[in-house]
Amino acid sequence: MKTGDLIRALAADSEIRLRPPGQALVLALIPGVAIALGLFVAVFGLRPQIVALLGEPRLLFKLCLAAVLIGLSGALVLRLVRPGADVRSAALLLAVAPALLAAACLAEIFAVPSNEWGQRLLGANALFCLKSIPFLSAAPLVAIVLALRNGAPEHPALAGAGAGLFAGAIGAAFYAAHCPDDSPLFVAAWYTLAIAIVTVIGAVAGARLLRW
Amino acid sequence: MEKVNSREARWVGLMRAAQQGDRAAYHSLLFELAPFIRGAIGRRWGRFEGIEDLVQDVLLSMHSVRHTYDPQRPFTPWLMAIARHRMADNARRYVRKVRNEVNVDEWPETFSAHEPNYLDEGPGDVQSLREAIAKLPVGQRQAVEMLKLQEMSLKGASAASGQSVAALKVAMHRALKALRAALGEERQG
Repeated sequence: MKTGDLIRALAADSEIRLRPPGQALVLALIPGVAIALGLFVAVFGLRPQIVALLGEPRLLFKLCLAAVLIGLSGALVLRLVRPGADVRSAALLLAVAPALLAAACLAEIFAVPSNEWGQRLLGANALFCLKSIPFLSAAPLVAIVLALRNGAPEHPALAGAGAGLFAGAIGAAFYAAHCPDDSPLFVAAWYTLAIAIVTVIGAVAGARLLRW
Repeated sequence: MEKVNSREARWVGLMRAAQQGDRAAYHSLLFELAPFIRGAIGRRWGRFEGIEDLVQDVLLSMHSVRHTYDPQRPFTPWLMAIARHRMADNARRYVRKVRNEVNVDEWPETFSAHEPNYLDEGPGDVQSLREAIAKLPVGQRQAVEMLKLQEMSLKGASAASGQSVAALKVAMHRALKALRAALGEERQG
């Protein structure tokens, strides 16, 4: 085929049927998050007296940190799905979340006597946290990966990892509203590990599903 | 630099219009992009046969993901990211293909015009065929020699041998059957 013929054929097909990546992501997240919310209500439920506890700085920090991670990883995913977008700055900005967490851990270490550190780190529900966050992240992860398939990620595995991180942050935000362990030490150990699991799952899925 | 900037601005404008469904703008954009992509590929990989396929591949890829262009962002980095992605993919495929390919200057023909005429070539064992013919009864051997080896017509063979056409046909038929049996046995043995 001559290139000129191809150009004419492509120009004749100029109408765009697919949504821009941002729109596609939001549209996919609506059912994804709705399912996660349904599972949260059905299986976990809000922590008793959570509204009264909102003044508690550790709980507040945990919820805010999850929100920050959702924002940063969402921005990263939007970059990853667009060819030629500046991924690096969004990835570097992601370091804000672990930095905040590290600062909170330091504060906790100063605020709490050292014989309580171990108990704060292990909390009451470590293994339950490890299972619950991936469980609550599953539907958002499927939604995000499906939305990314509609885009053009330059690096499929990386985009999948970004999707996993984003979904993990959403799952963690839900779980944080249930989990009674508020110490930054617990969050640093178990939330991080759980989100890392979802990220790895996302990367593996991305490497297979996000090629184009 | 000035030239590059004005080109970038023009492409952004054309692509924005194209995303709004402006066919003419999209056509002129693609028309400008083809040589640009060809040049970029040439600079990266050198000129080679099949470069046009790669150019078309990049144009097609760009077309299929054209909704991912953000009209607020520069156009060229977006395009080049797609081209890089497609070229890396193609390089892999090309290497895989070439590895199993043999180049031939002259294509071998499946049917050669000469081969059927070479008696001492071909599947059978010519020596044993000759011996088998020699062992045939006189009438059958005559028929084979005249009709097959000398390629005489039935009428000509009839005139030469004094046998009727029907008798020659029968003799030929029996001879072929005998030869087939003789050669078949030999092959098995």
